[in-house]
Amino acid sequence: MTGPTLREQLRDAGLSTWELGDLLGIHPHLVSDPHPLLTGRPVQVLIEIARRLDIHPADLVPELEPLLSHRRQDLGEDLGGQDGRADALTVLTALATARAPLSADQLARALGWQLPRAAAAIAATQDNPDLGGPLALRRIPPETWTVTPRLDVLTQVQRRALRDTTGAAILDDDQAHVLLAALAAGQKWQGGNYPALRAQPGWAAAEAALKEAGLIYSRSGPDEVHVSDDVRFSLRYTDDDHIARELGEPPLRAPVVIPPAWAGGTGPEARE
Amino acid sequence: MYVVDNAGDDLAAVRHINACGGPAEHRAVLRPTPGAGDVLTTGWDLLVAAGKPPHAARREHVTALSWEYGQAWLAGSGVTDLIIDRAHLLTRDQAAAAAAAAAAAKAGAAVWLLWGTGIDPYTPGYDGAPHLVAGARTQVISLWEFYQRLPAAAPPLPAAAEPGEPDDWPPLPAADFPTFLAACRRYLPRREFAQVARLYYDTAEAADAWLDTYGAPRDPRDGQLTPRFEAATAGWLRDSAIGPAPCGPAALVRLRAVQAALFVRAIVLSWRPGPLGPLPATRLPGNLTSQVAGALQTAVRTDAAAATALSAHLNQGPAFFGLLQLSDVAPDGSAIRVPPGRARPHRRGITPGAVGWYGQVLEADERSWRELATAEPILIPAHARPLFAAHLAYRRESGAASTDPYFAHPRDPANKPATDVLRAAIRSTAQRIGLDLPWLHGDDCRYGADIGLTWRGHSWPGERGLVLARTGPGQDQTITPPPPILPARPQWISDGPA
Repeated sequence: MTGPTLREQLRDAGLSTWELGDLLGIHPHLVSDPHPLLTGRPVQVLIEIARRLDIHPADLVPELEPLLSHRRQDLGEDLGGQDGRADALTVLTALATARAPLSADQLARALGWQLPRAAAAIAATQDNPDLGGPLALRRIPPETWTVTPRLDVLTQVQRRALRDTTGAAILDDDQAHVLLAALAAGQKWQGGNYPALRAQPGWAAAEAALKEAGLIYSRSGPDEVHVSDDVRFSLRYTDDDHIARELGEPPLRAPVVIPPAWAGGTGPEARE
Repeated sequence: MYVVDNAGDDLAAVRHINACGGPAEHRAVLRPTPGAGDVLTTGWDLLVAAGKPPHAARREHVTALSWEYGQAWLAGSGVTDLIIDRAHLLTRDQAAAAAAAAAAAKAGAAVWLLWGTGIDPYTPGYDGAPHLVAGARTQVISLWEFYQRLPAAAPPLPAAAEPGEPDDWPPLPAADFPTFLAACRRYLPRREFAQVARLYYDTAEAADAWLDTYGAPRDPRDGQLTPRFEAATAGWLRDSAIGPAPCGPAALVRLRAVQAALFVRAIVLSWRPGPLGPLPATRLPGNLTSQVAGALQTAVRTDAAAATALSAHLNQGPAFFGLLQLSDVAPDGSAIRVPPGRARPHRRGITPGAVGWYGQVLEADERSWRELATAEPILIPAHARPLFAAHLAYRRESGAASTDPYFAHPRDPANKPATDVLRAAIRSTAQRIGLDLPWLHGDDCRYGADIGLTWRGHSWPGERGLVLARTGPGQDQTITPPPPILPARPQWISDGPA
């Protein structure tokens, strides 16, 4: 075994075996005994552990070493090139790990290198932007370095959309309560008392989160809220006209039937 | 009983027997071990005919019970035709035992004896002459007539309309249920959206129908969802709504539709996929798949197969399985219904009414019990029904009455509970077929499987990160969302992809 052990890697990642099990969706027993019991684990578990912890599979199961070192073809890279590439990758990883931009001497101290080696690695990184993959080296004045996402892959529209995205958050209980109220009594004609509901503790925060996520919106003031067309479509209150318009597709209307209320005793079968 | 004249040992007869199918087609082919004249060996042959590996009886230490188990498995599979190839190899006792097993397995079952030598089956006094087995002259038919009377098995039924492989589905959005369908509409090509939307609307409408049938889900006193509704929902999700989904993406679409249908009735079903690992949707379908049921069919012990199947289906250990009675199980194994009023043992070492951590344990036990003992029956998937029917037949063969336990201690059924035996049997069976059942891990693993770091008990929704909010949103009965305007399904979805 040449690399760090699973236990060391877990410690570095700040994970317990229980948490690793949770992250990988496997039972913690499958990662609780690092060696040699990992030998008998399913391949998928080994793959997931190696992937999650950036660990070489042969460090998990030493028997894999001869198999993995067998290469299909000799790539013919010279050792010097490999060293330079490795240093550049180390610098990129160190900058991505650091919480703030680092100078070359800070980098050298952190990595235990001589300053010329750190400077050469920074220069190599600058000269080979592909090494960073989605990240690129940035100089922060006066002479510190960091990495940020590349700017030449995404379009401006995509970047703006990503900035505006709030993520696929799961509705929590408070938000569900507000959304239900918005559906049932969000507007005055519905006869509800939405302003009184708004006075409840925690309501404002949940309402703000729903508005930020675009699930509800207010048009005429805070005492009335509307549910977005997307929510109404997903909950089967409307058809997909608004999306069809947005996508420039001609909508094909379906006849709409308003069923009796739930309390009426007739269900969906009545409309079949 | 028929004697098929196969004096020429025709190769076509072998081909036809192979085409007749196996227990899944309600047929079994018994091939006697050449040179073995004892009844016990033929019992092992019968187990092989019922689909068991030749070594299975020895592995499970039940070699002496091969006839009992063989007969039970024939009954469980509903075998109507037992074909005995090269029946002239059987002694009179062996043939009689095989005929008796077929008759006991199913009333009116036919036994087909392929008589493969030139010996006249009518020869009086010949040891093993099949007409002596029946006690009367047996009808002799030609191979041609055999082919006509017992044609080859029908080809398998066409695949279900719902695509069953994950690759059949487009990548689905991670949006929660309030915007899931809109995200699908916006980001999927029209043809793929139509596939998603058809399943979505069908499932949502099925949920509407189920909710209408169920009645009031809330306690009028405090507005909370009743424990009975919670258990019924778990059963319905497991047996009808999500569990039968053939793959993860299909299950995810079904789940989103169910969440939407429940939400407009102020019932919040949350899905927390975070702790489920990569591809969390693949955790949603039921665990008792056709592959698992097929693997369980290779077990000889019917109690081990049925208990493992039930554990996999319910996602709980056998703590309460000993309370099942024979009358609770449908004769064909299609359903199990335990009356909710049946008394159950309480966990030892915890005082009833305890609070805190112990209270959570008791609550989890109560939830597991309610998922087993509900007013609505537990529906067993079609591919697993023979497992339950076989054990029912075995228990009836053993002389058990309708009110006797369905799972009994094998050596002392009257005095010892079956729970520990069942737990061991489930563990060994699951290990043999390569199934990891987290809810059967030992006490050192009390934090459950792979969800969270707090003890959570075991339940079907819990294993999938599903949480039904009994309190909180929806409890405020002044907030009643309007019913959806239906049908909002775009016409082109019903008509098929554009």
